[in-house]
Amino acid sequence: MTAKPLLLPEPPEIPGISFHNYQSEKDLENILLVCNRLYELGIHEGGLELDELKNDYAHLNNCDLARDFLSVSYHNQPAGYIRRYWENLIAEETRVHINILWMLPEWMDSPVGDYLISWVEARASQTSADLPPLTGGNRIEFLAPETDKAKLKLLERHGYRPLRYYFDMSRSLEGELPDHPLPPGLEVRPALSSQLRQIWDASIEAFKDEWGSTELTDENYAQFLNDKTNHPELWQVAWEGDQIAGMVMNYINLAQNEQERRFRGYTEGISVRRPWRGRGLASALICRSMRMFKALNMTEVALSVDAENPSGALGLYTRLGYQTYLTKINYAKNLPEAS
Amino acid sequence: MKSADFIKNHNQSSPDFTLSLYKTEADFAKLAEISMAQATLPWAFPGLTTEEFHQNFKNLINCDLTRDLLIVEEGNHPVAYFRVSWQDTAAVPERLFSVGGRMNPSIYGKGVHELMLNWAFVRIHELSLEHPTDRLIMVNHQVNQRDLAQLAVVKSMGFTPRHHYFEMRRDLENIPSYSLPEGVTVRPAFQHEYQHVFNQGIDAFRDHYGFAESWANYQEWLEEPQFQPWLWQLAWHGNENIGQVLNYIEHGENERTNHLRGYTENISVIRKWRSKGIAKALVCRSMEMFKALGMKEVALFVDASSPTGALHLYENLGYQVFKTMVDYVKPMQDESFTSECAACQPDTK
Repeated sequence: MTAKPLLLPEPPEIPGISFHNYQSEKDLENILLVCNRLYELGIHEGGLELDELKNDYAHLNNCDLARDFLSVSYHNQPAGYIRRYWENLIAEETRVHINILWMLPEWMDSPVGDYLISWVEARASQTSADLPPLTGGNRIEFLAPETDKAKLKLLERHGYRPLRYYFDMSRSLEGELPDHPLPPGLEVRPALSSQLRQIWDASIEAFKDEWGSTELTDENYAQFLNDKTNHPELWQVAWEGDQIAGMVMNYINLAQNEQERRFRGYTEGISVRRPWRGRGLASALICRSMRMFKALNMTEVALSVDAENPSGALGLYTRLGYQTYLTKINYAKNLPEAS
Repeated sequence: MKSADFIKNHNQSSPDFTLSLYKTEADFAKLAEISMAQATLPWAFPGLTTEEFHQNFKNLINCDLTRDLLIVEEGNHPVAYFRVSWQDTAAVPERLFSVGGRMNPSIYGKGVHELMLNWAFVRIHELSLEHPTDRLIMVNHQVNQRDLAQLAVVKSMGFTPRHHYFEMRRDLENIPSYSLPEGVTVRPAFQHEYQHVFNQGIDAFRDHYGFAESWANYQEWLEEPQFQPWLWQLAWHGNENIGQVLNYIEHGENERTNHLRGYTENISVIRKWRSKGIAKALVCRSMEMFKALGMKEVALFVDASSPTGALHLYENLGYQVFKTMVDYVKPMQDESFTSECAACQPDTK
């Protein structure tokens, strides 16, 4: 009786177009080709590398690659892909089904895109049917940069609406830099290899208060440790005695700097743990990070921010001179409850 | 005598210390244990982990670990190792056989160092027959000047000092600042420029003692843990890299020794831009950078007789000699091989 809504849709018959599930690392090479093409079109950010994809795909949460990945080819040339996974939100009794979708614009807002949407929605129904029900239900989400016009159109057409906005911001390191002192009693010390787990745990504890945060696992930690852009010597971690108060997990994406021909450092992973909030610690650590990147001869810093972050992060970064250069939109739709 | 027979004969004499050659990567754990034991001496080099031995011994040239790496054990306890490798370089007329290793201080004065050197002489003889050369065979054994026990051994075995290297250190207080010549800029390298930066560095070091063409392996350089391009300080004239400090951090070493140290290393300026203050300016910028990273000190290695006067430059910038390493050498003629081998029969110990 209940089998009907759990069927996956049949792929459309479109000359030259074929779909297949995840098969091998060849699929990751195809992702890279698609994303590089989208980079040339100004839709995808630069600097994606095969090693990064391999690392990501080696440490997935709640994602069965055999069933949660679909690639699109046109005459055997990669044209796009979708990967889905789910997470339980910490703050709400809601399960989110997160979709990563990149496709060449000519196929996005077309029956190909329609099929991918109906396919992930059916997969979301299948997985949620196998999981305990949550009072907040299930939500399906896509993240799209404002530059990906075809994706925005496709999502709108399927009833998805903007739920949250994220700003990518950058700031030049030329000229005067702002300076904020560390709150009294705190000191910044370089991160030792033996402290990485403690720092990571402090970071995820602080991030639990962010909108949309989910439980992170050892897979996330393994992914993080193996990430090529992970350079703990660039972190600014503030301590009070043996307690971590807050941090900026700075990094440099060398491949992206190469592709974009720029010298950018990311002042990212900014977090302050609850007992130390409201004392200007984030400002102090970001200012130290700017100086550090300047000493590394970088010419700009950048970060991403949830525009509605209740801690006022957007205002803080704006006061420190960061300016928005790209808006990313979280498009969402509630998954209809299974009858 | 063959080096394998040397080991066999020695082990048959029911000695206190048994000899074996490196067999598999599992032996790196033994080397790590030995190096950590030696590192308890206050002036010794920091110990290395199994993983670091793995990394350091990955791309060796003219060194077959299964024949050129000797491990000494007392009971089942590894206490010393010794390794032989060779190279022909433009900097010296001889074929240089480098020998050396690490020893647990507990075996100092018990003849193990002599035993390993005697094995090395036999092995070098064997290698020089396998790889004939017109060059004079020279054995090079680097010893820490404060390791009096090792110094006594190398002197007693006919080695003489030839070359000095210093490890220098400096804290990060009172960092001077120097400007660069007109038209010279500082910026990082893009990935497509790494090969160029590498070539410029290799070219600048060609006139140094001990330079070996085998250093010029770009692919291996990219894989070294010390390859940390985000920490480099580079001077450019247009798009030509004319000076460099290839800074790096030894994370494991800092962790184990409780130091916060950055290495201001691989300092070079191409010939036509020398004596214009470029190295000085880049080293000072490197100090500022390490300070911004929260480091407490910087260190470097310098050839005491560098043709560019590097030692003097670093002294002026406040670096002080912390450790002196001496290259002891011993020429090997056919007769000396024979006599060494006669002298080193294991049962004469």
